[in-house]
Order: sequence, then C-alpha cells, then structure tokens
Amino acid sequence: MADPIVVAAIPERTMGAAPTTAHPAHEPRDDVRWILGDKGPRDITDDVCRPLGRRPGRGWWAAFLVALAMLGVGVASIGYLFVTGIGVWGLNRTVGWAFDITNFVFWVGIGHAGTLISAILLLFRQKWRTSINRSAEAMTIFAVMCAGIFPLIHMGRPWFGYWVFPYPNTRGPLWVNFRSPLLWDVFAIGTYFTISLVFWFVGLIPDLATLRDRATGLRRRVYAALSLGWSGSARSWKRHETVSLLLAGLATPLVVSVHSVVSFDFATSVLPGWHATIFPPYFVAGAVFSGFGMVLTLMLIARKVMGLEAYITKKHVEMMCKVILAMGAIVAFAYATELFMAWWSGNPYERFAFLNRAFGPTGWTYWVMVGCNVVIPQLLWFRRVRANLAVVFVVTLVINVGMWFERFVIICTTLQRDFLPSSWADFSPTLLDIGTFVGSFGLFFTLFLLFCRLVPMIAMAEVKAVTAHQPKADDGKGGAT
Amino acid sequence: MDKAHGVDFAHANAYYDAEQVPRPGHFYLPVACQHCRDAPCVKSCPTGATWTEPDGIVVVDYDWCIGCRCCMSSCPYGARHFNWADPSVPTEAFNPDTHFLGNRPRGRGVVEKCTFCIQRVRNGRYPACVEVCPVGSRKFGNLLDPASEIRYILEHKRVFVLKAELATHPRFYYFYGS
Ligand code: SF4
Repeated sequence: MADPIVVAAIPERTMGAAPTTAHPAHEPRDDVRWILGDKGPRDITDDVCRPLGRRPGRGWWAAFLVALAMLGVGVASIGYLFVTGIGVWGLNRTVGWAFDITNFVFWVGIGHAGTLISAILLLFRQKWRTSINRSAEAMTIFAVMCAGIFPLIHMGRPWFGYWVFPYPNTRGPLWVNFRSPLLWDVFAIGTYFTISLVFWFVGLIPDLATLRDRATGLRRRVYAALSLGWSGSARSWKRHETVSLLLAGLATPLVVSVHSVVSFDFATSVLPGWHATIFPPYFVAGAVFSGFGMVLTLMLIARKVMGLEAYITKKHVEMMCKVILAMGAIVAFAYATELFMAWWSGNPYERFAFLNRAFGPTGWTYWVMVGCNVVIPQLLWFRRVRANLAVVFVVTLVINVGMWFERFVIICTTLQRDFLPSSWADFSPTLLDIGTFVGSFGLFFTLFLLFCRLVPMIAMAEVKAVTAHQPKADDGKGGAT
Repeated sequence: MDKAHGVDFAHANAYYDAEQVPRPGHFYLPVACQHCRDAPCVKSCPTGATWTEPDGIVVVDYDWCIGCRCCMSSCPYGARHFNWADPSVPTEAFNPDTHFLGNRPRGRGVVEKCTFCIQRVRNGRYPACVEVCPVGSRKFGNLLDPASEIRYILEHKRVFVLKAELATHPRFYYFYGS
C-alpha cells in the first residue's frame, strides 16, 4: 500500500513532461510560489483531507439543508409541470422559450470554467490552476447536469425526450434530424459531460488513493474501489500523465465547441437579434466569464469555510480576476458589435430588435445586463480591488446575475417581438418558472456541498508538484514546470 | 391595415375587431402557415416530426412531436401553435373523418399548424378557409398546372410573399385584387 508521501513526491518528476521546457530553471521561481507557507507533501495531504475526516460542522449542515430545500422546491415544481404540462410556465405562443432555455444556457455557461481551467490551462502549463481545478471541474459537471435538465423538461412531452438520440430503433422511419441545432446540442453537451466527467475522475484517482490510505473501514473500501488499485508507481504516474494530457487535448476543443453549438440554437434561426455570426465566440467568452464568476464565488466561500487559505491564495484570486476581466472585455465588445451591426447593416429588423432590447417593455433587463457585465467588472482593473476579497466576491455575484440576464435578454426579448406585430406578446414568469430555477440551484449546491465533504477539494497530487517545498526537486530530472 | 399605408406592419392594428369589419379605408392581412419551400421549422425539428410532403404541404406528425418548440422559435410567421392542454372536444362534436397529418385531435404538449386542410385537399376539396370566405379572396390550387386559377393570378396580378427577404420561399402568396 502506498504511503501518501510517496504518492505525493512522484509527480514532481512526471508532471513536468518534456525536458525541453520553455522555462530554463528547475527550481521554483519566486514569482510562482502559488502555495503559502512551507508546505510539505504531508502538510498538503493533511490540510486537504482534514475537512473530510471531521464531522461536518453546523455551517455545512445549514447550507446543505437550504440546498436540499431548494432542490425540493425544484423537484416539486418539475413534478407538477410533468403532470400539468408546460402551460404552468409563463410561456405563450410567441415566447415559446423563456426561463427554461435561459437557465439551460446559463448553466452550460457556468460549466465552462472547469474544463478551461483543467484542460486549456494544463496545456498552457499554468501552475496556478492546480489549486482550483478540482472544484472547478466538479462545478462543470454539476452545472452541466443542471443544464441538461432544462432541455428535457422544457419539452411538451419530456417522456419522449430519448427520441433525440439516434440509435437503431423499432419506431419505423422515426429518425433524428441532423440539421436541427437542438440535436447538435445533444451531442455537444453529451460529449462535454462525458469527457469532463472522465477527466475529473482520472485526476481524482491519485487523491482517492491517498484517501484510501488514510481511511479505515467502509470508507477505505469505497475509496479503494474508486481509486482503481492505484499503486503510486512510476508507471502508474506515467500512464496517468499521458491520459490526462490526452484528455486535456480532447477537452480543449470541447470548451470552444459546446457553447458554440449552444449558440447555434439561436444563430441558425432567422430571427433578428439571434441570426448573427458573432454568436459562437460571443457565447464562449460569455460562458468563460460567467463560469469563472461562479467558480470564484464558490471558491471564496470554500477557502474560508474549509480553511484552505494557504492553497487558494490571493494570487489565485488575482489570476482569476484577470481572466474575468479579459473575458468581460470580449463580452462587452460583443455587445458593442451587436449594436454596431444593428446600425451599420441598415437592417430594420435588427435595428428594431436592439432598440427593443434596450428600450422595450423589458428594457430594464438589458440595462441590468450591461451594468453587471460591463460596468461593474471594470473595478477589477484596480489591484486594490482584486486584493480585496470581499469586493471580488460581490463583483463575481454581480457577474452571475448579469450573465443570467444576458441569456434572458437574448432569448426572451427577441421572441417577444418577432416579425409580426400581431403575434407580439410579453412574458412574465410564474411561480413554477421561479421554482424550477431555484431547484436547479438547489441541485447544484447540494452536489457541490456533497463534493466538498466526500472528495478532496484540492488536487493534492498536483498541488504538491507546485509547492515551493521541493526536497527532491533538484534531482536533475526536471522541475514541475 | 390602412390602405393609405399599404402593407406596413409597423402601423397596422394587430387586433381584429369582428364588430367593425369591414372598416372603410382598411384591409386585412391574415397570416397562416406559409408552407415555405425552405421551411425553418423543418430544418430545426430535432426528431424529424415535421416535414414537407411531396405536394408541398408542410406537415407535423403529432405522434412524433416531442414539443421542444424549436420550430416555433424559428418560424418567422408565428404560424405554429403549441397545445398547452389536452383536447377537450365533446365526443358528439368530434369529427370522425380525420387525416393522420391533419385534423385529428392533437394531444397536450405537441405543436400544430395549418395543414392546408390536408384531409380536404387530398380529396379534391378546397381548404375550409377558401371554401368559407364569403368574398372569395382566398384561392387555392395546383401551382404546377398552367391552367389553374392560381397560376392565372400569379401571372396577371400584383403578387408578393411575406418577408421575402428571409428567403423562406413561401408557397403562400398575397395578391392585390385590383
Ligand atoms: S415542437 Fe415538435 S414539430 Fe416542433 S421542432 Fe419540436 S419536435 Fe419538431
């Protein structure tokens, strides 16, 4: 059985991959000290596993009960919806999609940060990802689960939802239509979910083995089964690294594709305000923006509650703020481009659509969106703001709100005012709309809280590779670059 | 719509007040399914529950529709309708003479639309709206038949299609009577 310290020490050698790295030095540079204090591998294991060994505190229980209650509201709403039909939502003939698809796009967006952090930043060899990738990936998985619910329950007959899967069947000529963007969604989200889940699990294996070695009784057996007999041998590590890199390579295009495909739901239609070529990059940037917002929101809470300040440091927050700032700039640029296109194209429909967004009956949502996504994130330009975690927390909350409204604006205001004034209609959500939305948050937080309790929130093995405490780093076999 | 303005949706009254019909100086522009040659709804349906029949009628199979409303969102004419509730036709009012793709009852959660009264036109009758129109302002016929009334209209009257710029190529034409 591997000693946890052995498990920890090996990645220093294997994480680094090729010796022809761009960084000349093997020893950690001062400016890349991502973990505070002189934490050795055992400290890291202890720090990360400690909250898992303890009984959950009152705070956790309180949060869990609230999350469960929210989930209960959601389950009840969806149950009622199934029995009664989607007429219980505030939809009408004109606004056929509102909260349902808004929530879907919102949650898919939230799910973006995880894979970006774990896959793209891995390929870019960004070491700061190690402290946050585990929980960000978990959020991805949970968010995609939340997202997946909505396309299903938004159907008039959700029990036939499986008809969107192209598998040999006995239903005669019934076969999916590959030209339909909704079908592309099925593939995009299905693939994204699968790869994210596998990637997350593969990353978890060494840590699960560490937990196995620390646990006793039933827990030990469960962790032993989940860690797939991980021995911590150099061979295992090598395989593990290869698989991780391959999965990162597979996941990277998915980060871009999944929200691009979601945007096709809209971009391939003829409706003004939707029919735009900028939609895919605009959606992807927005997704990363909102995903980082959500990751940061939860991370700021988790580091405090779980005492992980040494691992999720102000520097991490700073890096994430910078990513948010960059993505926010792209989103703002996309808003401006949309307006420019509406004006410059001379297309009266487009012009009307955007005037309606800003000054129509639900114009306030547009201004909430602009305020939350464009104006307030500009605060992050200031180092002092980025260093003030309370302010960062508020800004990320605001971004979450803003990004939800962005999707609402795109979907709802466009449908409210389509080509024929005779079919114009307004939308107002019903309690069931809100209940379902609350329920999705309940599911997300329930899963996240369970995750915090059951698996290490921080990828111990990977963090050990970037800590400044590297007793065996100078063994001539390459640093953890 | 105001005759002075012509076909101008921005200045038209969206509501039809049956009490006041016909109003002098105004005309009416009903919009039903346009049976587009390049129908956005057909393209966007994930299950293939809506398609174009060989004779050009765009139909929905209510058994195959899962009610995702992709077709409704993509239709620029607002021609598709969702069934929010179960049908409530009393048994004695039920028309037993139905067509699978036409006037049979549609269950809750599926989408329906104008089918050019497929149950009638396939039996050589006019769609109900054409038959019932008291002033004969609706015409229906075979576009491929050079001797048909519809071809005469297309060749001799001022004709337009709705939202031609969207390239949906409707099979539903509007013509000026005079
Ligand atoms: S609502 Fe029915 S007909 Fe319309 S796109 Fe969905 S499955 Fe197809």
